[in-house]
Amino acid sequence: MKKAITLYEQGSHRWFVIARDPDKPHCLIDTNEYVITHAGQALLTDPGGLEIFPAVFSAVSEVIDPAQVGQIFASHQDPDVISSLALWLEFNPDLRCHVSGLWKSFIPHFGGDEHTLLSIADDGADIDLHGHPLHAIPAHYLHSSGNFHLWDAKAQILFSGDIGAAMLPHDQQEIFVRDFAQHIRHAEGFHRRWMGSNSAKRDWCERAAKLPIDMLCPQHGAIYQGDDVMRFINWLDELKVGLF
Amino acid sequence: MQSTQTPLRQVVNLRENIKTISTIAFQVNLLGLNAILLAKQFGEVARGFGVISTELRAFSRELAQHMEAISALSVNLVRVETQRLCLRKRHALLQQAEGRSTTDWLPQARQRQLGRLDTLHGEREQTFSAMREHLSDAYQNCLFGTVIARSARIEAAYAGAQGSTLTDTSLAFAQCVDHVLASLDRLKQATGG
Ligand SMILES: [Fe+2]
Ligand SMILES: [Fe+2]
Repeated sequence: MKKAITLYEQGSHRWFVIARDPDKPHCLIDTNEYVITHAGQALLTDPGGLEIFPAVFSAVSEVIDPAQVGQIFASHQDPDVISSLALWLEFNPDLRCHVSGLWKSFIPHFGGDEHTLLSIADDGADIDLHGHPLHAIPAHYLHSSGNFHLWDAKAQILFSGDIGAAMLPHDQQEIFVRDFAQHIRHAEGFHRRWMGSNSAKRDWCERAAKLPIDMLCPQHGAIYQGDDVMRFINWLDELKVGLF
Repeated sequence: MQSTQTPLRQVVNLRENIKTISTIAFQVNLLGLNAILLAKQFGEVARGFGVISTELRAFSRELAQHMEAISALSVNLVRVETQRLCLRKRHALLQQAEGRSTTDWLPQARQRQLGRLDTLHGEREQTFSAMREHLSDAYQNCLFGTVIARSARIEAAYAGAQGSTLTDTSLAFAQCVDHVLASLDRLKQATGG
């Protein structure tokens, strides 16, 4: 069963990861969801696919009343990211979903309408969580053509969507990367194929290297913490991806 | 009131009540631990209170176990309610399509969705009934808890000079039991009992 684990806590400001799911059907890619709370309100990043909604919903309600989730941040348009939207709206019809303007009319195929979906402009935006700003940072073409990450300056946590993702073997359920060299082998193929642009990657690496990041939290696989964050950015910068 | 709530909201309310009781069970455990230490400290005059404090911890353990079981059942309820939502949605879409087509495949598919909805309804009722069993056990447990609380107060009265500290503990415990009973009542209602 999926479980919510605290990553950061400073008063009412908290990050939880709803970590990997050993019980999910093998045919589904495993995902991490993140819940950010501030002063009684919550935002959920990449809430995941329709099939795993019960597991995510139960895990969220273990740590907060899910009615606090007033906003969703969708890094991009993939089904493993946002196909559960209709069910979240079923629970809270006033929910708002932030996504690249490019996908504003695509995502309603999963649920929601023009009121639900709030466009993020290409160069990014601040998302307000009850007075606390979260920064939607551009990461276009990594892999989606309209793609954002979410940076929390206070917690120094970057939600990095598919960047940093690793296809870990079923028996590796650790939350954090333990042995970078061993871990990154499971990330290499994914990044080579899914990330389409070397220039977009270089630009992202340069920007990410300048941010204070304590945890780099991907949508798939384990979280990079401390020195492993910079190790990852350097590794990605060296990697040849996509077409060149 | 309940009928205006969405099924998922109902499950969440249920889970919020479970959380409340689990938190109280945890507090009672601490209270019990503290009471055992106090009784040891106060020596012979508080021996009876010490025995009761052990009962208090057993009470909290049992309560926590029932809540864990109900919580696990509530996770199943989230799954059932989600599937019902999806099936209803599919059913409505098939019905829309049916209005624009003469193929008999659509009513057949719609019928299948209705069959699945029936099965899920059965599962939902079964889950509620399993929850009610745990609730009724937890309720009995609480009635026993009320007796422990009363005995604790009597024992506190025998503890002489130290009595007031022990009375405070027994009153705090009685208050916990009252809160649990109120939450159990809400849970009973929410599970159709
Ligand atoms: Fe993706
Ligand atoms: Fe993904």
